[in-house]
Amino acid sequence: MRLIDSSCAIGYKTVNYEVVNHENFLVREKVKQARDAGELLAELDFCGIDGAVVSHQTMADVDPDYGNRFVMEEVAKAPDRLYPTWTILPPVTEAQYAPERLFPAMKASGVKMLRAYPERNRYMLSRVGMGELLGEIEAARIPLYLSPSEGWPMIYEVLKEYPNLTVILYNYGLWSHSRFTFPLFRAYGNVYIESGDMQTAGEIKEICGKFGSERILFGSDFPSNAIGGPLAALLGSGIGREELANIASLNLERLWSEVKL
Amino acid sequence: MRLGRMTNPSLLAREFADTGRMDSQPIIDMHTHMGPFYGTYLPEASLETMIETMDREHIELILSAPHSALFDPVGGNREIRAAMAQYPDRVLGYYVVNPHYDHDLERDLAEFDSVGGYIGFKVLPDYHKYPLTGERYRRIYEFANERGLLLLSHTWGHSPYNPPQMIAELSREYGNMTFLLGHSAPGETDYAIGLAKAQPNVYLELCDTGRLSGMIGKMVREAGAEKVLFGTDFPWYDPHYMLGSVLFSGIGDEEIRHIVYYNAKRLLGR
Repeated sequence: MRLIDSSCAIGYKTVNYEVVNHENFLVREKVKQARDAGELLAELDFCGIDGAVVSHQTMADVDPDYGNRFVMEEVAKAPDRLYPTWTILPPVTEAQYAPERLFPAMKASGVKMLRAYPERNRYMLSRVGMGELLGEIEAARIPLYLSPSEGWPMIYEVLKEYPNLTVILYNYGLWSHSRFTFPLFRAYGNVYIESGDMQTAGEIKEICGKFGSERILFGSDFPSNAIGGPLAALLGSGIGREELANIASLNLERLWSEVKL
Repeated sequence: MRLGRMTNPSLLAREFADTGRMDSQPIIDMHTHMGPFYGTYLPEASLETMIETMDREHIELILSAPHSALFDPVGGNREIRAAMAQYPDRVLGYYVVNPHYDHDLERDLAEFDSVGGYIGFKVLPDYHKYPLTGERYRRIYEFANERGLLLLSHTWGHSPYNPPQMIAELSREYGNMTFLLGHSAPGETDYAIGLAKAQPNVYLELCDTGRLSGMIGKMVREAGAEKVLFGTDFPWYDPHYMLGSVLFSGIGDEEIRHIVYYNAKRLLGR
């Protein structure tokens, strides 16, 4: 059974570090970050993690293009263990994000997952804002990482417009998110959740029972969280071996296999 | 699950990774609650379910302040008394003080010593919108200081109601009490760590803050493992999550044992 962390970041944040305590509520604290791929791999090795899906802090802090280049530099140092994500922008302003240009570039670079920071980059994640890209992402079954750190309405709205969009929720804070996420699991078959902030007692087992273990991806959201917490929450959750294997890596690998670029 | 790549030398971490449980070391959780809470859905909030989880996760003992006691000034503190009576070996309690009401306080303090299981007080200034150093708390501080009890206070960095600086002031004034910095003052943990290091009767408590990358290692390096207490907000949070944060923090097994168990034993005199 492999363990792949579906959400890790490389690089230093401009401010170390704004942690989402619960949605719309940030705590500023100093955390131990990974400057580069080597430091992240050391963290992964310490916890016995085989690989990680990675972003680069500069994607959000500097500029998506800039960060997308940096993440590829880091992934190239361990391509068998680190899997890149790219950040998107609206093609109406940045033409390089039109699907006819973005998708071939993703294919050439081995990128199968995307991220969006609409609040940070100041655009609307909607049909009006960038429908020409969102519709194609939905059709190509490319997983899109979204955080409700600024609130849930944006996530509800984009799924209403693109009900088959593959969404991975992450960085959703400490307080149980179930009253927000369970309706999404029920309504949309392609909504998944990364387990980094999944602290609520009994939550992993309950989601497995209600919606299936296929909806959870093991992840830490490192360096917001230390990897050990989400790792122990999963290993000690009391779920069956098959469910554990799904969450540990099989769900993620299945999502990759469904991407059509 | 066998983690073949794991370079963490901790035998306790290895045991947990292999079995999903830490059989060789029981746990005492110093910061727990009980029952439902308005702001979040808690599937394992009932006392019976909590006991089942404790059995599964090898949690010997919890110190608890039910949500009812935190937020209902009339019915509060009944639930913990019933829980302590039902499970005297598994549940100890904090008496919760709401500074806006004192109608039952003297009656409850008169009964305090005869109620089995109380180990001190829990206060929640940020939620009650009343400062930790306010006059209305003086009565319980004096009471606790006379008896050498614990005070678990919610703390938060830069808060107008419960910043760690207020704990510093109180801990010097009431030297016979033991102060637990609930959450270790997120946003001002460096101050909290320095305070725990300098002040003998002040302890760091891990709930929430312990999950942050590198935080537990820093606490142990700077304040010492003997000043860090295991706490989780259970049943909000699964104690295993915080246990993993401790097991994979890079500290030694002896330090882990102190954090999850022996520091609490020492404070409780058990």
